[in-house]
Amino acid sequence: MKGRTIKRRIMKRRSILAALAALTLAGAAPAYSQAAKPDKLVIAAYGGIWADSVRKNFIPCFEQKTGVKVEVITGESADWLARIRANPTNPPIHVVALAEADSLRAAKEGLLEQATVQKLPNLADIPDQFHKPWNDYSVAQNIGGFGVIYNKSVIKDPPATWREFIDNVAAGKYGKRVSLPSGTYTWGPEFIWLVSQQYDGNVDTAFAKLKEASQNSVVKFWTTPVEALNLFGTKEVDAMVYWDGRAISFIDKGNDWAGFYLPGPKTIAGLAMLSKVKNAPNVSWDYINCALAPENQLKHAQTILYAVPNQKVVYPQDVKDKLAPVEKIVIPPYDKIFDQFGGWIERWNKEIR
Amino acid sequence: MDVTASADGRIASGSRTEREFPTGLVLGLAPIVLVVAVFFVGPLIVNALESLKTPSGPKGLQQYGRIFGDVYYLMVIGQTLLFGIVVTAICAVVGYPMGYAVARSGRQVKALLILIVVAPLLVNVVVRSFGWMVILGGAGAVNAGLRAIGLPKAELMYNWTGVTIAMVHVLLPFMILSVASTIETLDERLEEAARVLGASSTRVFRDITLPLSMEGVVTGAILVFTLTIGSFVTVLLLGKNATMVLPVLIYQQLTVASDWPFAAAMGVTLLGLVSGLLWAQAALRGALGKARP
Repeated sequence: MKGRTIKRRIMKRRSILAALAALTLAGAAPAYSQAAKPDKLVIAAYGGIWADSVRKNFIPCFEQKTGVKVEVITGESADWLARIRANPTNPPIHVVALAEADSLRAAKEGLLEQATVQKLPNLADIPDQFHKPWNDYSVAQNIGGFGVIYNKSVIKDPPATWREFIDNVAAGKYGKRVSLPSGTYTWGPEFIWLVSQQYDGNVDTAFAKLKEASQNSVVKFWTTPVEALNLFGTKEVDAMVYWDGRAISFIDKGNDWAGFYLPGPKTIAGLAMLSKVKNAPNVSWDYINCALAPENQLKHAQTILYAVPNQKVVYPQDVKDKLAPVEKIVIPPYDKIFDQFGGWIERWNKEIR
Repeated sequence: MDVTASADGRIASGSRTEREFPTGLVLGLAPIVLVVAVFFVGPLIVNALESLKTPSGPKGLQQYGRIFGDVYYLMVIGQTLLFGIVVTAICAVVGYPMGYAVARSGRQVKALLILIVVAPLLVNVVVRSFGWMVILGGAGAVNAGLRAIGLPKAELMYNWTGVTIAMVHVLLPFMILSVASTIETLDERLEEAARVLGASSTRVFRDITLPLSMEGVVTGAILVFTLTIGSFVTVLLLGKNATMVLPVLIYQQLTVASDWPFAAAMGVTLLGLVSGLLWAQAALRGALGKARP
């Protein structure tokens, strides 16, 4: 009787080990082959009007073409990067819209798949500056530009150039009623680079100017666009560096006391970089192709008031007047400045208080 | 069969069968061990290993060298601890009388008070922070009130004042409920006996109520302190660079600098600080308990 009990226990242990092994294998293996049609495609989108546009302007095209349903998850670039990093063999997101620097990081870590015109026919209509700096691992979906939103009743004659604006802010010309992007915001290092470009590329001068601005003018360096709009909308500040699409949407909602412009000579772009995540299903390319199609790009621009990179898009005049002209946009040289971001953030924390 | 085998084991105490592999015990404990390993110990090990990575070269303690070899990071650690202590102290002073009132109220009033106390916890932290911006901002309700009575504008936002007010608001319930639950268990006859013997209300509170309810204050203080020094959303939104604390630095390293090893090292440091302080607090309580006559 005892022998039978021991045998049964051994059998039980073997079954448990077998079950554990099966579970381990199931976890390690991708849930699908890349070529097979998945049940659904998971795409990442920034919240609010951005996600609304994705649902309205891109997803119907993709679902009609492939018959695959799309799940949209909203969030932020760093969060998506963390998720695909955590599970590269079976990524929980198939198409991401990372910020420029995160996109470079992801490509460097082998988390993204390189695009070609064969896989992505609409790539042929996207100018090189919107995908080549990322070695075709990502392609821009839309182009935002940093500009200045201001209270027209307080600031009657805003300066035309970035340099003049920054000098005024550093000198405290607008009182303690200004907000600028924080160096620790997702596009904060790019803003530091933009400031440095107004002073012959000198980063030390940029930090000195921002330090003066902090002491004389800045109520708060904003860390999220929502926080920034709250500062401006409650009239806590009279001038603020902000994204064009969001600023114009705010003004169009009956806030005609506010004005917006892009100081010269050029401003930096904020790009949402679309990428197919490595090991994601191949139909991901169809989604990106839909997002880059001229007709869908135009609808996207009309919805969110950001310029789009497809050169076949022809904007109606009323929309064109609201978008950042591509010739006024400059893309920071990420290959040269990317490695300095960590140092700039550390310096920001220590010097701008 | 199993019953027989089990009975055999028990009867034959000290025999070979007693040393048999305790399969039942292992299988019974396995789910708990698995949950603890996967959700509690596992992440800590992963985090600790991540903190030993360097951009180039062998694994080591370089990330910790960056933290403890730089005055700025030491200052942030100091600010983080001080912030935790100040919020805890305010919560204790404000929360004690409120906890007392909750504990000594009638059933219906108590239910209402508890609902009011926990209300801040029902609101999302971001929404709550934006709410404080509307109240404390330059054009906010407080400053509008000050202007209306001819007083100058008060700087309540983007400094330690605003951050502390918002943090006390959300963490006060933890202190109040901890104190209330302890006072509820106190035997009111002890206080009555002291009064009958001629003790004043102040003396009854000082010698009877407060010592017997210290357990609740300590529990509340541990909760408030650990939650304070681990929070970052409120500090991020209502503070600025000058109000830097360790969790905000960790968040920055993860989201902007993408320097995971440094963020992990700061996480381990924060965990070490909290654990060290809790151990010191427990040791102190033990020593005080022994010293008491």
